Amino acid sequence: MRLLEKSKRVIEAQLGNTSIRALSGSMVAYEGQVSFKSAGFGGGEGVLAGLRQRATGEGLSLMEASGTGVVYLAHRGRNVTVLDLNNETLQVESEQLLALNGNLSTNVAFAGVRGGMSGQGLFTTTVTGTGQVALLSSGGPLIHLEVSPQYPLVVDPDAFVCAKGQLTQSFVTDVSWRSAIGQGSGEAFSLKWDGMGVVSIQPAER
Amino acid sequence: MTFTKVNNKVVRVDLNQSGPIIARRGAMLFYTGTVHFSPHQVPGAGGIPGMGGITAMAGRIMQGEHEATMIAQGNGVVHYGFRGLETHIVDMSAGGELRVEASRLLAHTSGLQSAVVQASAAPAAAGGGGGGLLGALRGAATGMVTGTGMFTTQLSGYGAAVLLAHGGIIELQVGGPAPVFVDPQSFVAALGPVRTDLKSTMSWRNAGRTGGESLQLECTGQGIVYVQASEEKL
Repeated sequence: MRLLEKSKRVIEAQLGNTSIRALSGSMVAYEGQVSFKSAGFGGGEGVLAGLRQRATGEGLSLMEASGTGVVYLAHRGRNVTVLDLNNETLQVESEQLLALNGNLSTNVAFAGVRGGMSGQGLFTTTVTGTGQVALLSSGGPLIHLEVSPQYPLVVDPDAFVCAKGQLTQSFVTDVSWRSAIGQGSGEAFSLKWDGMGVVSIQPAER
Repeated sequence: MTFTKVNNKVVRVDLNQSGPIIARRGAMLFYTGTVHFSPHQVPGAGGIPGMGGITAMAGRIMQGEHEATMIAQGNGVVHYGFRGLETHIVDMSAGGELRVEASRLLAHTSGLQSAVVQASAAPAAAGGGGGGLLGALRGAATGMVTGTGMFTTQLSGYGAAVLLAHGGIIELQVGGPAPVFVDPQSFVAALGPVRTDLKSTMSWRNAGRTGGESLQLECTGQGIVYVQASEEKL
C-alpha cells in the first residue's frame, strides 16, 4: 500500500489486500481486483463528521479503495507530491488532499483566526499518525519552505498547502487607508508561521 | 520518428519525411517552408456498414464523433498544438489499430485509415458490447455517461498519431494477469485489439456509497490503453 509518484500528475497506489483512502472520484484507472466505497468525510467518523463538514466548510469527501492491485489516482491534471509522516501531524488545506494510507486519521481543527476575510476559513484539516499523504498542487510541484525560530515565514493564504512540525500560525494584515480607497497592493492578508517546521506552498493562488 | 516533441505540448513534423499530415483544424501553430493546408474530408466516410454517405455523416455529427480536419501538404516543418493540452505521440510504424475519440486526436499521418466504429466494439469482433441490440444499447449508455458518443474513431495501418490529454498521459498495458479498469472520463485511447466494456458497480445496496467510482471501463484483450491524469472532458 505504498504510494508512489507514477508521473508528475499521477499517484500509483499498490494494494496487497489492503486499503487506502482517496479523494472521491480521483481514480483514473486500476488493475486487479479493487472495490471502491464511500469513506465519509475528513472530519472523522459518522454523522457528526457530516455535520462538522457542513458547519466548518472544510469539505473533504473521501472514498476507500480496497483489494489487491494497482490504483492510479489523479485530479484535474494537478501536480502530485507524496509526503511521509512519522507519528506527526500535518495541517493541510482539505482541497489539496488526494490520498492517505496507513494509520493516518483526519480531523477538522480550529486553526485560529486567519484568512477569514480571504475565504480561507477558520478551520483546517489535520492528518495525524504514521503513513503517507499524497497532496495536490496547482501550477507546478510543491515548494517546501523551512521555518526556524529566527526566521518566521509569511505566506499568502491562497497559496498555502500544508504545514508540518511545531508551528503556530498567526494572521498578518496590512490594511491601510490605501486599501480603503482601492489602492491596496492585493496582499492585504498574509499567514505568518513561527516555530520549527516545514511549510509547503503551491506556485499558484486559489 | 515521424513526429517529435518540442515540449510537452507542441509536436513538430517534417513533411518531407512524413508525407501529408492530417490534423485537427486550427491546430497548426507555425510552419517553415512551402506548406499548403486544405480541408480534409470527414474521416471515415462510409465507415459504418449500411449507413452510407450523408446519413453516416449526419449520424456522426449528431453523436459528436466529428472534428473538422485539415491536410498539410508540401515541403517544410509544421508545428502543432491545441489549447495548451499535453500531447502524446503513438508510434504505429509496426502497424496496428488505435481507437480514440475524435476530440482527443491532434494529428496523424495520412497513411493511417480512419473509420468510425461503435465505441464498445473490439476491432476484431464488431458489435462487441454484447452484440446486436444489447451491444448498441450499451454503446449508447457508454456514450451518455462519458459524453463521448456511441461511436469512436479508429485509425488503422502504418504511421504515427498524436493524442491530446489534459494533465499528461500514462500508458497501461492490457493483457497481463490483472484486469485493467479505467475511469470513463480519463480514458483517452486504446492501441491494439482492446475491448472496452462499461461496467457498473452500482446496486440498490450501495447507491450513493460508491465513492464516486460507480462506472468503469473494463479493458480486456491485448494492447495499451492511454489514460489522462484528469477527469476533464475535451
